[in-house]
Amino acid sequence: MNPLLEIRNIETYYDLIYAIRGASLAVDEGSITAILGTNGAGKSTILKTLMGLIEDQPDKGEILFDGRRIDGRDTEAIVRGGIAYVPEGREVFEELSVRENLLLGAFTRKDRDGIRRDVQRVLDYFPVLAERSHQWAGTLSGGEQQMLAIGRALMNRPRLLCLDEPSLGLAPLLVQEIFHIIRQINAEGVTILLVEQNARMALAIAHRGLILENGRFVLAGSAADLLQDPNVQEFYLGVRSTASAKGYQRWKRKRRWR
Amino acid sequence: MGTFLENLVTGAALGSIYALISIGMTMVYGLLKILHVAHAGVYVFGALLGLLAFRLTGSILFAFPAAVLGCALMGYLLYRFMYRRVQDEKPLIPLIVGIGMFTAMGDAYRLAAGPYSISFEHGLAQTGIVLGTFHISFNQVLVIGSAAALLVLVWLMVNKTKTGLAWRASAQDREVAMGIGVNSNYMFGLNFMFGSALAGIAGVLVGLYYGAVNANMGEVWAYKVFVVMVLGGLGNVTGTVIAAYLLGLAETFIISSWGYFLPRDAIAFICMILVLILMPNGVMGKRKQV
Repeated sequence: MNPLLEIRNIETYYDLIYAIRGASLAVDEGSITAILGTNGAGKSTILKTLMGLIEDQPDKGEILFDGRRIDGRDTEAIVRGGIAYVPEGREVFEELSVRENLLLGAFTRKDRDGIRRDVQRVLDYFPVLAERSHQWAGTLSGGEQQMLAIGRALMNRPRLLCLDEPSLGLAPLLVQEIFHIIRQINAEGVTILLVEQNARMALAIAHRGLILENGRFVLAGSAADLLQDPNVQEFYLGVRSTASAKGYQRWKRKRRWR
Repeated sequence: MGTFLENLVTGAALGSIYALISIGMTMVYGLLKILHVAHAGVYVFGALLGLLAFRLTGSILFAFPAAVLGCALMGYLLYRFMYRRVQDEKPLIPLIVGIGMFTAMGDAYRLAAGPYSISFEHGLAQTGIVLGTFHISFNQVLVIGSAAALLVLVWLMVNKTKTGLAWRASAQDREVAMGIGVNSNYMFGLNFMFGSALAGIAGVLVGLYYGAVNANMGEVWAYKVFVVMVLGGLGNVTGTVIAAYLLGLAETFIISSWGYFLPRDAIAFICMILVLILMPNGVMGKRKQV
């Protein structure tokens, strides 16, 4: 079976920065794939490139969704094709109501009745949002805003849902709730591409994980394998495997990945 | 009492015109944070086109659609071939592009229509309603009535349509709006068309109201629209409409009470300075809207 999303050796310049330096990735239909990495590794840039949000990028390489090239197309066309995007930092439209935010998620759809049903479906899914559907989104708490951002993306009825750091700035209990929701969405048949710094949470729900460093994937494997990998444990999960005789971390191990 | 009512009507008519011209510029500011100075040029274009259509057909009924279509097209072209190319640059660049365009437009109008006022009289201008000492002219009814209808249209457009929702979303965060599939550039083009059409109607109304059209009639407006925009709280449509009527009424009542102790426009700018000192965020505070 062909993967739902295939990124083939893309290179992206973000302004003058050579941000993605030849990255390839395949996401199987129905799976949860997590891209992990530290600040500045290029995780968000990969998603923005995929969504066509960086003008004239990717500079090189191909992106295929459901077997069709989507690189170089307008974001609107990519979204209409069935990819939804939840940007970093729970970006909801603060001075629009919760309902209006959801309606915007269906912007590329034309079926009025279906949209109305889906608004109801999302509100049923997130009862806290239903209580506040006429309130400005800016009045919601951080967790509620993240739910709204995810709900808004679901309004597109996506086949692939891309989430950029959904755990950012949320309390641990809320992070668990958000990840539970992501797993539930996946169980209903939506393929998920997740970008995270919180490697432990991400690998707990993901089927596959990839580690991005300086614009290249340095390690890829099943979530279970990554959780066992000593390098991942040391640098992303915070498990200290060894300390050297002098008591400092052996950071050089990392270089093996490049 | 009669004077008070007449001042009220005159002020409201003036305010209606301020509102119709300012809405387009305010929406552009709300969406793109660009000061669209050339908007006053679109308004003059509407007045001239309206006059042309009136001269050709002999009916003011044709003046309005001509101005609407011509100005919408001009607004779209201004966006597509000018602002769209500079909309992501620093704000000074689109501002200077707009000033240059406005100057060029003014000269083009003077070349085409000459530097003098051209009469725009229509048969109904002298008719009106008289109640004792109170007199309201047909022109005032026309201006206030059409502005009221158009303001309802603007409200419906911004608050009740999908396009309006996309405008409000893009005004708040363009990148996120694009990320969820809003074709922002197309929406901006529509917004320019809509605001420009309103300015075109305002141009025809001003021509009819004062009975004359002048290629230079945009010069003062270009700056006066700033007054209305700033008073309304930059980028806020509701605030702009309120500010437009307040300014129209204030000007009329101040002049009627104390006469022209200063030129009319000086009074407008003094109002702006006073309001800004007392309420730095304009009459509607600092809420962001389209």
